Amino acid sequence: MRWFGGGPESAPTPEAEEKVPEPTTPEGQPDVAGPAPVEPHPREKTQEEKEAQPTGEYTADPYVAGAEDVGARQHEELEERIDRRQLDRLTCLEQVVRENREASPEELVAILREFDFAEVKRIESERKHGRGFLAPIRRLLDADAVYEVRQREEVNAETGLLVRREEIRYNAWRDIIASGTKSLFNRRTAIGVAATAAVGFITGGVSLAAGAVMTGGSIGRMSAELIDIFKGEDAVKGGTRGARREILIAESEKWLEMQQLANDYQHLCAEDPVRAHDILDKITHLYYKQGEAAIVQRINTAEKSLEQREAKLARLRGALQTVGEIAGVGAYAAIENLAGSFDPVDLDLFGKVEGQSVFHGVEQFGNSYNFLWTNADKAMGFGGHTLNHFLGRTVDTTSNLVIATMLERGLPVVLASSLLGGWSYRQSQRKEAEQRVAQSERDQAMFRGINEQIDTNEQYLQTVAWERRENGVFIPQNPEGYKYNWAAQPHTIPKDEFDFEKVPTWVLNEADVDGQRIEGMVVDKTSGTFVEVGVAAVDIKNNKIAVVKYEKNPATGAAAYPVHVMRIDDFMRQYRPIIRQEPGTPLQPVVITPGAPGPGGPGGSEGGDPEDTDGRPPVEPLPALPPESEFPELQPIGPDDQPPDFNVGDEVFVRRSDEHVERGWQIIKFFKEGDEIGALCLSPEGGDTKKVPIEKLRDANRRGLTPASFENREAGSPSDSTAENEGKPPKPESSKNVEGAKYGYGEEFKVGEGTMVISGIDTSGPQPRYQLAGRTPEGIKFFRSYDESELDKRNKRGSLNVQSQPTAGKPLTFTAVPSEGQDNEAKKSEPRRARMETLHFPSDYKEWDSSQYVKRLSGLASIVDPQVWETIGAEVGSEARPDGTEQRFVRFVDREGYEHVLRETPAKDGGEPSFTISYGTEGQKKAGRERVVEEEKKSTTRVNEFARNFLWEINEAIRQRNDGVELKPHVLAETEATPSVGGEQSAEAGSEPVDIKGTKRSDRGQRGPGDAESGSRRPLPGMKREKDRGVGNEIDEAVAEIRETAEPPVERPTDIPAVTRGGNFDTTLGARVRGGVDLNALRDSLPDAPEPVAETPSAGPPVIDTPAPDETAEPEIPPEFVTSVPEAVQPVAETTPATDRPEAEPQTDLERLGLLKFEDLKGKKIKFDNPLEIIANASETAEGEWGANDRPEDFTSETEFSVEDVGGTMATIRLNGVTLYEEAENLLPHITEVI
Amino acid sequence: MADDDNSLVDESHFPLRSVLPPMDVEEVLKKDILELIGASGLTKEKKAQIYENMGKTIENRVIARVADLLSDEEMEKFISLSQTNPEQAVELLKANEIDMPKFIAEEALLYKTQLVTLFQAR
Repeated sequence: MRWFGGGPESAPTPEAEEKVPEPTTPEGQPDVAGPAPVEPHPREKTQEEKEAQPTGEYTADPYVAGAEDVGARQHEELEERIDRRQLDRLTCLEQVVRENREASPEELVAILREFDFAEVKRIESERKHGRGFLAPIRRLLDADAVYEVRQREEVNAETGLLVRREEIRYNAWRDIIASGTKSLFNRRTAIGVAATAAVGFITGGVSLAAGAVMTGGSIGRMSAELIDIFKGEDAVKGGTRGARREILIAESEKWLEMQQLANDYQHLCAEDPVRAHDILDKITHLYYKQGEAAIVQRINTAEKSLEQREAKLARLRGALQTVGEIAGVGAYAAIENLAGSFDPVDLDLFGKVEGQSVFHGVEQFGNSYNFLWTNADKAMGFGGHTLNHFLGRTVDTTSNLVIATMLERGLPVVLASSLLGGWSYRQSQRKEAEQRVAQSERDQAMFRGINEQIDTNEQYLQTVAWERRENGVFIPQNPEGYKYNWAAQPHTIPKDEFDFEKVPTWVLNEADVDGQRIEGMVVDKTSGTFVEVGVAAVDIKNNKIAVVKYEKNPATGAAAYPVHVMRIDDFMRQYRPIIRQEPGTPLQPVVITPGAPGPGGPGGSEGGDPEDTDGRPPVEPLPALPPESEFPELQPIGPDDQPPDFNVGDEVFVRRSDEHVERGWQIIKFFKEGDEIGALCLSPEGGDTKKVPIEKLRDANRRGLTPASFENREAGSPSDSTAENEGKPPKPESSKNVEGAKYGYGEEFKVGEGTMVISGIDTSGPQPRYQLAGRTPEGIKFFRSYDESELDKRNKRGSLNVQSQPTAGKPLTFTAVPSEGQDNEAKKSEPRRARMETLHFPSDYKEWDSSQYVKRLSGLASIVDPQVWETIGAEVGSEARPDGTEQRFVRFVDREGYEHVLRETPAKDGGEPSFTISYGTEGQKKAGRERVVEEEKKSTTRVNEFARNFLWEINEAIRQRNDGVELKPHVLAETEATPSVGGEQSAEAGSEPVDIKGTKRSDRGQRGPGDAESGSRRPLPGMKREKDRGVGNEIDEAVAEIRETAEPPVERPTDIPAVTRGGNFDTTLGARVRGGVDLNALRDSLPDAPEPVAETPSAGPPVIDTPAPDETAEPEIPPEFVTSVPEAVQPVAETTPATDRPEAEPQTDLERLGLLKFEDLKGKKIKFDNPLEIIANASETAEGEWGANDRPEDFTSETEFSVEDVGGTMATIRLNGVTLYEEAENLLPHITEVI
Repeated sequence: MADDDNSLVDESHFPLRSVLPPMDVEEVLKKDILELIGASGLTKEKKAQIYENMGKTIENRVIARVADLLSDEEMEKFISLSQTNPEQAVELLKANEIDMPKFIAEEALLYKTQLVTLFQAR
């Protein structure tokens, strides 16, 4: 186990110590006579020493992996290296002698004695091992760790060339322990670094948990944390990892104590190193044997816990071994790999049998493997490893497959961890993310306007943090990769842990503005101290900034570099950037006292750098908001609790206890008490805070707005209100109800999965008019006004969802949920589930692909109720083509009376079949209502559309039947007539749908059969649904409006589906997409993006002015369906018939990129016009960490990202080992090149 | 395949290598791990011992991984089946997308890579 450097046997037992050579003189004799006299000429002495060094000395260090068995070659290399460095030192000493040539021999000896080569060693070490935390570990792992200490012997005038072994070890370990301890307790971010480096010390897995601990406590603990991180468990919690952690912590403490003891003793016995050696051995040995009772107890307890877990795993081990031959279990396989015998082993390892691909979804051709169909996650399973790198490529040899495994999973893990220590950071980030939901609204708002206004950090700080009072800086991390435990306030980063060069350099690069150099941190490179304050890192997402300050301990005089983590807005009030005119000009740090603005800049300045104002308008300082940390007792709200009508920072009216309503208060935080949401408001004077329940806040801030007033109103805070309300106190009404108004203040209306809230009521008109406040998925507040009747109507929509769509291996289940009234009846007579209709596809369904739609749909004929089949006029069969071949078809008639026919033309020469989709009967075709998709092999979207329409009609018929509605066969519409919405085909009337959960969403009692307002109508492709649009479009409209104000107008499709706070269901993509959706851009990016429908009757199917309820618009396809059958099951786009398309189509992003569909990005490399923004947007869910070399400025439009996977609307992209997940609409518009 | 017939690795397939520490993947694949980490001079017995420990470590990792993928209930069921009907036990693993040979290969390669990277990252 020694090669691991781990295991109990690695402890400095007496036996091990016995192998350590005694300090020797240059002649190799034991140095028992104390310090040797120092020759006046150091060169001769060190040369002599070098030649006299016994070779065995270099092989006996128990801390060097395999050192005792290092062969002659390694030894020679080591010697050579040592010689080289010795020469450097001799040169250095010679230089010292020259510089002190005037000194007497005695003085010269004294000088040489004190010369410690520190600078030489530091330079050498950094050159070889780099800087930072990993360096000492590398030194230890390298023989240089030994050598370095030996050099200390060489220059030690007291002992000639040698020093004590204990000191060697101590020095080596001290570096590690010191660094590791700092990392553990002060900088969690480096844990991964150390832990990764310590992987080699992990001997354990499960059964050897305690084995590695004596490798060194700190490393052991870090190893444990690494394991926790790898396993995704909280290192603080219990379980195996928890037990292991306890052990390692205990051992860590033990080791540290032992080291301290040794250190002390060394000092005590400095005059007799040989004796010190012996005594130290005894001490450490004694300590090791006896231990401390508390620690031992702790270890025992932890081990007991571990044993329990191990016992469980042991059973699993036994079971696996029992089935070993079948399951392929066997350590031999692993050993074979380790031993480099992969080639003969790989076949067995991958369970490859005849006809079976190496991985799922990997096709094998001879000795090659095609990853085209690789489902990466399934293929690689644990760890999210993907091979999509290779999608579409043929990779030769199994070895490359293995390399891919290593590169994709192994090395990036190591690399990322090595560079960043990011695994633990990711963990902590996730935990923190759960705690900062209250900041979501503010977070979302942060990015608003960044694109058009913010180019540099300082600009952001200036314009956003100050002027807009929106906090954040676009700095994902500083380039060194330092990441702070943002929760710690403050903690200290020792000087030697912090790379002074990095942060200011980065800031400098980013902050060159108009000839001025603005630095966030200033370092006096001579003294190595911070002149004032440095911005070490900024976490825009969480409104936190890590500020490094130089502080001097008044008691000891020692310098410290604490990192203060604070809110960015607080920081901005306290400090301002230091500006200098020319690079190199001495910097003038300025400390800004809160509340005492000085000349020249936000926040003021006592020092008053006069250049600060150059070219910059003075900015009013913000009132000092109490930092968030001052209100820890307030429970933050969740994302769904965010009031739609108020923002943090809004200026509001607050009713004081004397009922006086006072303006000028400011919301500084939302909180939750029980089920009640409240706002913490800051008084105008800034000295008082008040917790105001949200309802009372609404009460105090509501207005009797005129329609005109809130038509013009764009923002909801009183400060934004129109002039007519300015200064007027709100109506002193205590009830939320307003006379004459049906709805009251604060009443919520469901909008998709979000809500809108009545924030204004005006009763001056013929009928009450309401202002509703809503919030876009991006968190942007907006308002709409409605008459009461409109509100009535908009609040009465239902929905129908298909529970599931076809997915591999799963049945297709249609859920038809009856109305409330019928549901009550149903409960009496039959269980609700009786109303479920499940259609099972044949068992070979999973084998179908996109070319088998006709077959699949035809298969429904045998399982769907004939009555249903007849209702929709379904017909399947085959027909002869003019060339004598047969083509199969599926036909149905939609409720509007239009015929849909999907014909499958047999494939030629083994290719894929083509499809023809006819829309309309012969007569209808003559009327120009036919749509034919010819020879579009890739047109799975349209085929899907057909299939989905077909299924929808079936579903509707089933639902009607279950609801007791008499089924009426769909009748072909007259050619010349435009079918009316509520005509004969509205057989579904009276069966307005509800959602699949049974949630009543409609007022069915108000509608009867044939009611034209029935919300269950499914519009055909190309239909407009303006009037039939349900609640839910408001947010889309707001999004569009917001975007249109900043962007050139883009033609929008007419039927934007329901929008929820959690995302939009896009019919084109067939999946719900997350917030911040630019549906226009998204649709533009799709191959079959619907175009604006020509409204002439002859241009297509009947244009219906009454929009369908958006929630009934589309059955939803679970995202997993989209991802699992990417090719075959393309969600149906509600597209306009091709004949309706305008001549000049705007080019979609996909077209621009030469792609047929979004999924085609899979396996490609792509470039973005805004890589940093892409990274930042995806940072919340990103996996892996950026490396020290991943500097933001290096991410340019030439940076290539790899698209690992594409599923539904989500793409998995990778860059430098970091996996990003991003939505299509965020990616496609910004992709500049696909490679 | 690489242009160089003598090379096992087609470098063009591995752009990540540009950001990786210096490491010869081909070497990692073909060479003995002890050789890679500079411990080839160990005695045969010592090597065997280390191999065994490594194998156990990897096995433990695999077991821990399997345990993570199985619920307690499934684990009990698997253990029970392994004694009564090993074939079904294996089916249970497969049902949970546990591909033992693949797991072993992955963990072994990962382990080897980690160690080699560690020892080469100097």
